[in-house]
Formats: sequence, structure tokens, C-alpha cells
Amino acid sequence: MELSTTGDKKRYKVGIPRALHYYRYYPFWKKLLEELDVEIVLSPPTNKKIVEEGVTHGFGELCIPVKIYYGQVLKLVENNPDLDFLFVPRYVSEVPESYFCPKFLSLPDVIKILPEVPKILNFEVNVKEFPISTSAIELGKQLGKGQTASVDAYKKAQKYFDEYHNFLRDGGSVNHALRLVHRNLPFKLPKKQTKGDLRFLLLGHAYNIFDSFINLDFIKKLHEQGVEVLTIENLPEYLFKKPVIVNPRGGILRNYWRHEEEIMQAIRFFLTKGKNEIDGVIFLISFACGPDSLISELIMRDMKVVGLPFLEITMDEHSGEAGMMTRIESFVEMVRRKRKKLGLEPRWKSKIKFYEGT
Amino acid sequence: MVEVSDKLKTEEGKKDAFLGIDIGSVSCKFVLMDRNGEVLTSVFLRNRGSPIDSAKAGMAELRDKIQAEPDLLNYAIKCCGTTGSARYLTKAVVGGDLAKTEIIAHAVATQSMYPDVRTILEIGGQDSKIIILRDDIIVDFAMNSVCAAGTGSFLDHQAARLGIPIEDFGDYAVRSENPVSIAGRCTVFAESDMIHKQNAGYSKEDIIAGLCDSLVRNYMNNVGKGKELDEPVVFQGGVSYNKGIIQAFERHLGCKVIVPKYNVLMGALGMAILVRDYYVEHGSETVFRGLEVSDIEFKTTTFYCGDCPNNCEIVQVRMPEQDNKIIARWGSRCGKWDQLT
Repeated sequence: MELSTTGDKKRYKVGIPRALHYYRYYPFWKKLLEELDVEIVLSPPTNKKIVEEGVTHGFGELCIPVKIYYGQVLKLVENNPDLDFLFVPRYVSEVPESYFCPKFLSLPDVIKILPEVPKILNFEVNVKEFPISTSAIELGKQLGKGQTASVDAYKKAQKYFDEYHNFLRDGGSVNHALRLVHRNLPFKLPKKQTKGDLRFLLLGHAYNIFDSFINLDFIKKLHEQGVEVLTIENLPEYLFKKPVIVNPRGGILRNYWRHEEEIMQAIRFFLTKGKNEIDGVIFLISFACGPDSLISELIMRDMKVVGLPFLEITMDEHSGEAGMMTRIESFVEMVRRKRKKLGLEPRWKSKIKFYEGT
Repeated sequence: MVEVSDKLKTEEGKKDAFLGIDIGSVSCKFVLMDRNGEVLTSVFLRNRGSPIDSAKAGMAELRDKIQAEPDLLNYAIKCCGTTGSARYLTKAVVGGDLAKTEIIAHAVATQSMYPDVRTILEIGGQDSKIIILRDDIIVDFAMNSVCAAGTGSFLDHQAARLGIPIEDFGDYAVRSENPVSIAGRCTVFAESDMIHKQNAGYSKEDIIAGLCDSLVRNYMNNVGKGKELDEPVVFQGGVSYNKGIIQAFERHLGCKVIVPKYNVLMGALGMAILVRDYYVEHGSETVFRGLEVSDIEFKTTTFYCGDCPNNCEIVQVRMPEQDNKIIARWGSRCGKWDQLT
């Protein structure tokens, strides 16, 4: 590392593509990297051009979110030819016995096929093998930082990340919170909150739900229909403590996939005590997602048992707005008519009762 | 001519009528309904070049029908609603008071005739749907998404290929004694499979019956996937004219399949009912332009916005006779073109 030995004040410039895990970990990464004295450059929000580029360079059986990642990397490199590093973390396992999709595991290797990609900044999270503090130390090494500085940065980042999560659990939306993180503003709920007479739980991977380009502004569409939207991030932490056993009679079969386990854990509450707290569930899936297609089937069956309306929406780069609108409108209307017929009061921002300690 | 429709729209002391318009992918339907839900008259047309042309053609025909029947002149259109994939465009053009999706419109119409209905099968020109109801409430629905296999357009095409009128298609199927097995997963494969069976010497009857079977199987696997299809089952949409398909459904479901009297008009009828309920509840003034819509010129133009990398395609509808006024505009993701002024 020539730069650090000269004692020069030059900071490393690190690019982060606004895709995939960005929607899940960005506040953590930002704090961590900034504490390690790095200048962060983010790619712009997804647009048509980025998707087209990604689709052109994506190969084989990739799902659209990964193709967008490609497009975002290309855009980032195009806008910033002077990047020292591209930050492509490798998330293997975040909690024991639960793994991310292989497409995440291989990302730092696969991304190298793209033209003119700068050096990859490695950050591997694999708690089965080593704690995250070790991952942070390894990250610091690449940036010329010592062990103490790295562990310190990790602790600060984790603390900030906890604050971020608490804000979401208090009802902050992910997109709003990410904007605050981006501008270094304190976590504060907006004065104007969207109100609706219906409340839906919107399930799916963060990169599908919060990338408003690829999902054709799904959340906004629901808001416009008078629906309050709850996402997994808004639910209390205790719901995610216990593992989900998919088939109790078939031995202890845990859900292997990390994201999907979270979705199942969220659902569990609404299958039992929370079943009157929401009016419907929408599951947004990207075409070709194997794990999602599996649990969608499970969720559909569960929903039928408790009588909660359920809608699965599959999207890809060819998603038509008209088809999606018809489905959303029909679903909202169906639920609204049901509530009216049953003589239920509109919700209008009533608080959800989450029972602790169950 | 214009006098007639003006009277129909505004004159006091007339009975209330409600107009439901359903402009789908292949055909457009118009239903004029009275306050009690009785159908006064209806129009069924194949689509013209664009939804605007279809709407105008339908209105012209409706006007002719009203003129031909003196009884109908005692009614005034109080409210107008639109449905179908072109519902917003049609609403802007005719001056609709309400636009709802096909799912809701179909369900409402069917419920009005069969209050205890639990399953609605609907196959139209280019799409198919299923609606599940329990205790008078819509609880689930599905639409065909990526595949138009087994919809009316495909049957049309195959009938033409076999050289028989589509109206007789069902009769051929019913006459079959040994339906052949035809791949139903995809229309492209179904077609090559059919050609193969034809060349192998199977009768038209058996091939057509086999085709009906395979279409129903495909519908069950794609649209009806994972749903409990309980009785009473009502089957509507253009394809419900086809006796072969009705029988195939009955075989598959093991129960009777009801085809309603207004099987192809259900969307428009449902919309008329919805707009009546809307009128009764709100009693608001209609924005309906009247039947003379058929004489008004509308022009749609498109352009690319170009202000950001999304480069959205914006569609706008103008009325050239009224200072080229823009009556509707949509297509921008950010919403900045939605304002008309």
C-alpha cells in the first residue's frame, strides 16, 4: 500500500453499487467504511439505462436483481473511473445454519467478468467460520488500518446499524431511512405519514421491495390506493429470534435460506396472534428466484388456513405496468369490499399490538 | 340525431339508466341497464384499431339501437363506468364516472345473477382469470400472466387452420368419441402436436375435443393453480360459447358448469351495476359526454420525455375540435406529466 506509507492525506475512494444488499446493509457499510477513513461513492438509483446494461452483461439464469447489480457496477465505474476499490462484500452466513443465496456468495468473483472493474474490496461475512469482527479486521488490512482501528470501526458501525433498525421498528420506512443515512441526518419520522384504511404486509427481498424502479413504484402504488404498507423491517426483533420449523413431523427441518427464513418468521406472527392486525399479504417475487417460489407456496397454504387474502406478484425486466395495476387494484378492491361487508372500521393508522415474549 | 342522445342524457322525468363499458383485448362490450339491474340493451363488437375507435363505434351502435326502440327513449343515462384493460383510456374518452378492474366487474355481475357462486371461470380473447368467492365475498383471484395459451385468440386461429367456423368448433368437439391427447402446456407445442395428429389421420372431431381438453388442463395448471374450485361454478367470457370447453371443464371438475345468459357481457354488466351503486351512494353529477361521443374526434399522441435516463413514453389524448385540449395524459414514472395544465 504505497499511499499510506507516504503519510499522504489521500483517502481511498470506494464505490458501492446501489443494488442487492445495499438495501439491507448500507447504513452499516457506510459507517464502517467511513470510520476506516474511506470516501464512499454510490451509484445512482436504478433507471432504464442501468437495467438495460445489466441485462446485456448478465448471463444465463440470473434473476433481475443480480442483473441490476451488474448494471449498477458498470454505471459506477463509468461515472467514476478513478475508484480505488469496488466494495463487493461476500455474505455467506449471518446467523448459524442459515445461508444466503449462492448468487450472493459468488458475487465478488463473478463481478470480475465485467469490463474495467477496479480492485475488489473484500468483506466476507461467514459466522460459521469466524465472527464479524474478524471480517472487519480483514477489511481494515486492505485499507492499511490496524486491528484496533478496525474493531473500533466495526463496533461503531454496529451501534449505528442498531439505531437504524430501531428507527425502522418504530415505523420508519426503509427508503426514507436510507435517504437520511445518505445525507447524514438524524433518524426522524417524517411529519406527513401515509394513512390508509387498509393495512398490508408486503413481503419480499429488500432489493425487490425498495428498488422502486424495478418494482414499478409498488409501495407508492399501494399508498395511492389508500393502503398502509408494513414491511419485515418494521416488525419487532423478537419475532425473528426463534427459527422456523417448516415441517414439524419431518424432524427439525430448518429453513436453510436466510431471507426466506425471515419472511417465514414474519408471517408466523400474522398466522396466529397478529391475524387481525393486517388485511392482506402481498409477496413480491423476482422471476427465477428458486427459494421464493418455494416459500410462496407454503405461505399461500398458511394464508388460506387463517383466511388472510394473499397475492403473489412476479416481476422481471419485462413487467408490464398495466398487468400489475390490474392485480393491485383488484386485490385492494377485493379486500376493501370484504371489510365493508363484514362491517369493519377503517384502520387509519391504528397501532399494531405486538405481544412481547411469545 | 344529437337531439335524441341529449334528451337521453339530461331530460327530467325519465327513468334512470346506467351504462357499463368493457373494452378488452379483442372485443368491446356495452350494457345499458335500468335501476333494477335489468339489461335494457347491449352492444358487442370486435375491437377496431384502437380503444378510442372501439368506444366510438360502440356508442354509435348503441345510439342506433336506442333510436330503433321507442321504449328506450324513456331512459336517461345517469352514470357511466368503464372496465377492461383499456378502462382508463376509455374513461377519459367517454367521460366515465368510475373505472374498476375486470376482476371486480365480473364478480359483481355474476353475484347479481348467482348470489351463492363460489367459483368464476372467465376466458376471453387474450386473457383468462379465475375468481374465488366464499360467503358472498371475493377471497382470491388469479389471471394468466406470461402465457395466453388456451384463450379465445388461439382457438380462433386453430379453427381457421382446420377450416371450420369458430361457431361450430364446440359442436365438433361434442361429436367426438375418442378425444386425442394434445400437449397443452404451450400453444406453440399444441399447434405442432395438432398438425402431427392431423397428418396421422385422426378425425377433426377427435382433435378438436383433445384440444379443448388440453386447454382446460392448461388453465387449471396455470390460472387455477392451488385453488379450491367449489360449486357453484360459473363460466363466462367469449370462450364459454364453446360447448367443447364447457364439457371439458365439467369432466375436469366433476360438477356442473353454469354459463350465464349474458356470458360475454358480464364485465360490462358488472360495471353498470357498480356505477349504479356508486350513483345511488353518491348521487353525483355525471361527467359522461353522452352518446354523441361517437361524433367527437379524439387524437392520441406519444412522445418520449427525455428529462432523465428513464426516458418514459408519454401518451396523451387530445380533442382537436376543442382547441386541441388535452383530456388525459399518462405514462411518466415520476408523475410530472400527470398534471394536465
